[in-house]
Amino acid sequence: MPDFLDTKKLLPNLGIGLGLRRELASQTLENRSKIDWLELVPENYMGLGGASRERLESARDQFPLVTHGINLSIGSTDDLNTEYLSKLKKLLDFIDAPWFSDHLCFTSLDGIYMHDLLPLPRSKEAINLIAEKVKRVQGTIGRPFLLENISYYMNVPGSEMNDSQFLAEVAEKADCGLLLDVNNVYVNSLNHEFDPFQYLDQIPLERTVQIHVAGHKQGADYVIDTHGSAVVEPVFELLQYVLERVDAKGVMLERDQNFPAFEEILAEVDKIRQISQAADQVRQAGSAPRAHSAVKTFERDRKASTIGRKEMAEVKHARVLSA
Amino acid sequence: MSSLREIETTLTSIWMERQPVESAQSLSCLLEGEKFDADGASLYARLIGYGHSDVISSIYPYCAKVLNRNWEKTIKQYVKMFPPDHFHLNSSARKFPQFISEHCPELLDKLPYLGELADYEWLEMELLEIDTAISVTSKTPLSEPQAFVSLGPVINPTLKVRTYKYPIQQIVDLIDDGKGFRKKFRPAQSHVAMYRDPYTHKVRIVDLDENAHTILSEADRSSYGDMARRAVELNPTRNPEKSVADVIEMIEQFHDINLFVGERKIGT
Ligand SMILES: [Fe+2]
Repeated sequence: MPDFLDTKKLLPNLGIGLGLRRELASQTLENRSKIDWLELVPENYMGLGGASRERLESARDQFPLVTHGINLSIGSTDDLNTEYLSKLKKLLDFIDAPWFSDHLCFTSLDGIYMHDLLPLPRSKEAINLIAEKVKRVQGTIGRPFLLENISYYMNVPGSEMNDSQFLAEVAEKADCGLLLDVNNVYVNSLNHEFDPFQYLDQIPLERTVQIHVAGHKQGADYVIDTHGSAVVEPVFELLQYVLERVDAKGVMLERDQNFPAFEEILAEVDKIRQISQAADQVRQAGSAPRAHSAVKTFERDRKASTIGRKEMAEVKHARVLSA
Repeated sequence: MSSLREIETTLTSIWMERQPVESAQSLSCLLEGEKFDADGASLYARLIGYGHSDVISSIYPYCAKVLNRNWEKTIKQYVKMFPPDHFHLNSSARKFPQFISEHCPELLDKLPYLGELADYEWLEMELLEIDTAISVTSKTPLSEPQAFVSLGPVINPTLKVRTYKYPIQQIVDLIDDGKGFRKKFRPAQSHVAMYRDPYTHKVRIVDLDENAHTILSEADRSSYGDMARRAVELNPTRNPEKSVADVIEMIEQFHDINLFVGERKIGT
């Protein structure tokens, strides 16, 4: 494969998209004029028939599609799951995805799947392992691969660097693209007390192909990335900051639970579109400052409310539930 | 210095609640004076536990209702014995019927039908997702006598028929009813047919009596005439005309509800 940045130049500009979710599928499919493309969770479609298959076919007939996986488990010291890869490849070929993505994390060990996005020690050993696995994944699938920065809620022992360094080194060494989740950057900046703009300045933003925008929730001890509430203004600011500096090929809204009226979702999609259009102009005019000069203030309010058991049960990174 | 493997193994054991949080303090990668982040690790353990509980509860709502206060405890024991071993989330619930039937003697003492109820619920899940295409073709009206001899049904390829020792469908209906659900049932053999509807993609469930079960189990190699003959044989004391009328009605019904999805020519 050519260098990733050369590959990126050839990727289509998908525009503003939405995650395809079972609960929103019919309204999503009815709003082709307001939503440019869809992202789907491949595990919800790989090797499945019935309603999943029908939803996949309807979406494919109307929208450009990309996948965003949960269980590649790129950071696991287990070897890659060949059954997973071959089913993923079949799906990607079926939808002819311009790229595909998964998370910078591990989800399985010794063949046990924890079905959660689990943080890795930020070590050289992890970087080497991931880079080698990413190269094999890209080779097997034959399409450009992106890694997403996750939100994380603990300090993992054995970490030798901070999160931005880790993400940067993985992306460079693996020569892959970034799926930059600006909500995750924001949530992590609150939980781990760093400046999110500085974080963005420290990662190879030019590798960003896709951007996630989402909402989060205040927990007892942590702000949790729930994809279950409205996007907050500071997250839109981070989006703007990124888009003023790099040309992303697709920006999308992730909404996975606690669904509001669909008009509210469309309004958020529209807001992302407006920010994206305005930022494009700034970028094309070359008027964005090279880096964030003054540290922006960001509110920290970790103990604002207590997350109850019922609410905790809603905390999901992605569900793969049946019809 | 701990290897990546060692760190992942320790974290996984803690997150899956196989090892106490304190055990991580022995990791050699911890710097001098560094405390393992026990709060963060416990949060992950809770998130993972809720995730598993959520999916298993959504697949086994009837077992959850019957087990009531014992439900969460049972799920924990299940996940410990059969941790999720597949990238499909729902698949993490697939060994639950086996767990109940083989590893829960105390529960089965009180609720001997629980293993069958779990099997019934998993079967529904499996059929919702199974990657089988169902094509529906037209059918000739059975009022044409020729059809009886030369044609037989095509069975919905997703059909699964189970014979249970307990009246599982009746138990499910009573739980749905909500009122006065008693937990004790006498054994009474029952037959349940389950399949996915080709149009709605929902799972349809048909309670079969003994004769319907026999006729359906032979239907893939029978003509409509064979099915009628079998109905007469199975009811030797009944008016044969009535038995034939009944079986015709059943065949029509099975076509209407897409349990039969077409017809095949006999001898081809
Ligand atoms: Fe995301």
